[in-house]
Amino acid sequence: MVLAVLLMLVGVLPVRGGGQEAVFRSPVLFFVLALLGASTIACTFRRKLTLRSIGYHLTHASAIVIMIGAMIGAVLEKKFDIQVELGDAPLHSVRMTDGESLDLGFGLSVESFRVDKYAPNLLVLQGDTIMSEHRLMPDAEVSVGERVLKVTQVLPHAHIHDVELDGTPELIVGDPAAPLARIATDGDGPRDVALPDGRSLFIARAYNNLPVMRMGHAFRETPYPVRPGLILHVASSNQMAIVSLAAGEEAEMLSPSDPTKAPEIPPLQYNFPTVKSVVVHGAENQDLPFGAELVAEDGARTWLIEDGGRLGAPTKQGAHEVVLDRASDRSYEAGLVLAVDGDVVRRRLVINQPVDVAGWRLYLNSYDSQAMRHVTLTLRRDPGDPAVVAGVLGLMIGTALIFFIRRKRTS
Amino acid sequence: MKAVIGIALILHALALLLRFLRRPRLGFVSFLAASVICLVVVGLDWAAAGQPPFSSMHHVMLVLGGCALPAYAVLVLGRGLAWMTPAFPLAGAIPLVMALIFRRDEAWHLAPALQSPWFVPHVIAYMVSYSLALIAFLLLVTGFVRKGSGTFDAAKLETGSYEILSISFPLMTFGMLSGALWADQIWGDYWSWDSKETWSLITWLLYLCYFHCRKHGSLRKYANLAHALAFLAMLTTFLLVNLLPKLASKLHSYV
Repeated sequence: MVLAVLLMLVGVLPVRGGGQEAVFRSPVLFFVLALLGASTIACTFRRKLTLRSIGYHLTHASAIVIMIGAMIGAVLEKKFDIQVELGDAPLHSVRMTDGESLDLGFGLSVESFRVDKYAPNLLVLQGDTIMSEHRLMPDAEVSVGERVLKVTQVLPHAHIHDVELDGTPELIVGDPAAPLARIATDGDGPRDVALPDGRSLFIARAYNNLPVMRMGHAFRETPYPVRPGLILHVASSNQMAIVSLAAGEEAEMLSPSDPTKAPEIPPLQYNFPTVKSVVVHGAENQDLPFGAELVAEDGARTWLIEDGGRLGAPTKQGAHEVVLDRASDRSYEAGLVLAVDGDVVRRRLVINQPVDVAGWRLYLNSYDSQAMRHVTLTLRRDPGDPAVVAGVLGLMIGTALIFFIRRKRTS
Repeated sequence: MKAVIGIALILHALALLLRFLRRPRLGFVSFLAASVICLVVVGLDWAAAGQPPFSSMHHVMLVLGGCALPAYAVLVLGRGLAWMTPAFPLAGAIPLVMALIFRRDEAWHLAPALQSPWFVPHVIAYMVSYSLALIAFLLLVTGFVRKGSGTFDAAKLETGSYEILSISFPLMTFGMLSGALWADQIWGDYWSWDSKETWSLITWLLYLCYFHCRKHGSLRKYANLAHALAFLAMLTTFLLVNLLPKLASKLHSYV
């Protein structure tokens, strides 16, 4: 036991360089566990089997059964991940990493996939720091600085039907007093802007809806006015940049993230007109994001869109701002079509609820969160698994018998 | 709500004080009130969110602040081990100090992997087990501190410690093994040698060493050492793996 503890400490104690967790896959651990198993067997034979000692024998026997099951699994287990495209033809075999084809013994295809999301939380931010987090629900009140905003509507799939602006969004390139160009970002196509040094700035695209790109979030275009932005290309240096703009604030370079590789661009100023009115409807389309309407004490209305978007009155007060977080997954499930011995069976595969078929156990691992075109499944066949599960249950019951039953009797 | 938690902390401290002032009944009422406050706050948060709130350290600490109550009923009221009473409010107060330090979320979302029938029994078993392990360790420390005074019965403290760990250990076993069965359902691996898992196995093995040392006469002198090491390993499993980046767990992250 002491040897096993020491070996495990070798595997988990932080050391410079790391990598020592390989000890868990080494023959040394197998040897130490075999020693522990042998001493456990020796213990069980030293004591006679009686009704009194049943807990003792059950725990020791179960520990041995777990070790045997784990050894069988270590030798015979087959486990791998496969990516299955939705609606593809049934898969009957998979190519293993060694190039060999493995016959599954059944046909597997995925006909549907569904994700349920939680309502995103309301975040009160100070810069990038989250000051407080609130549940999004009708009538919830959120303090932002000295203002109190009240949630009046929550829509799981918000469709922005109409936005009436008081003017046109305008991008001013260069010094506002003598601008190089004024671009109405609402509908303007690609265009060149001459820079004072002779280079040209090619505005490949002006977005009204550039989503905020955060660490770990992929760039994606949404039909919502999350934040206006530009894709710029400086012709002479062959460098590109994605720039996020917010009305009345400094332009923020989102890409390239390395400032030394960023092209030099002239000052940019973005003027966004006041929103006169917004009409938002609930929709059935599951791809649409969450939306929430907030009303301030003075009656000013704002629609917050999932992942930082906003339409309407500012939700800032001093250094504080309220935004809607990105909605996280509540659950996801795949509709499987399994062809076993000529029969076609449809099964629902949910995380935490694996599906057994033809000696294999199928797990829902992950999914393509961007395009929702494929899911990743884990397939596993482990002949040692029943022994491990039986041993685990035996160890639970045996330990309870030793401590609780004996205790009850002695007390 | 942190003010309410502060009141629970004061009540635990008051229970300890009343015990030393030889007012055991008032002390018990104070301990009972503190424990009930902790559990009611957790219950209210659970009801408001519609989900168990055990994925944040703040709530886990709140559970620890109140979960020794059933053990108190069994050991102190049921078996008449009144002399160990002071350890209970002290073991309730320590996690409440930490509950006040950790950020209190009003909103939380359980990840799909955590929505399992194993989640609540796994966490509750571990929390009660850890709370009792803390009480047992406080008795061990008391014995060590007062060793030279000659005013206490060392055997009584060791037996008390053993009594408490005899309830804690089966719960710890259930917590660890239910985690393995749960992992088998989610990832297709009942054991991944993740740092949290490995530290929990080290903790379990060290407590197992303690029981084996207690059982065998020649090894009995090492029992207290095994107990102390097991408690340190438990602290690492429970706190350090989540708080120290160098020990971080890839599969078990909550703070």
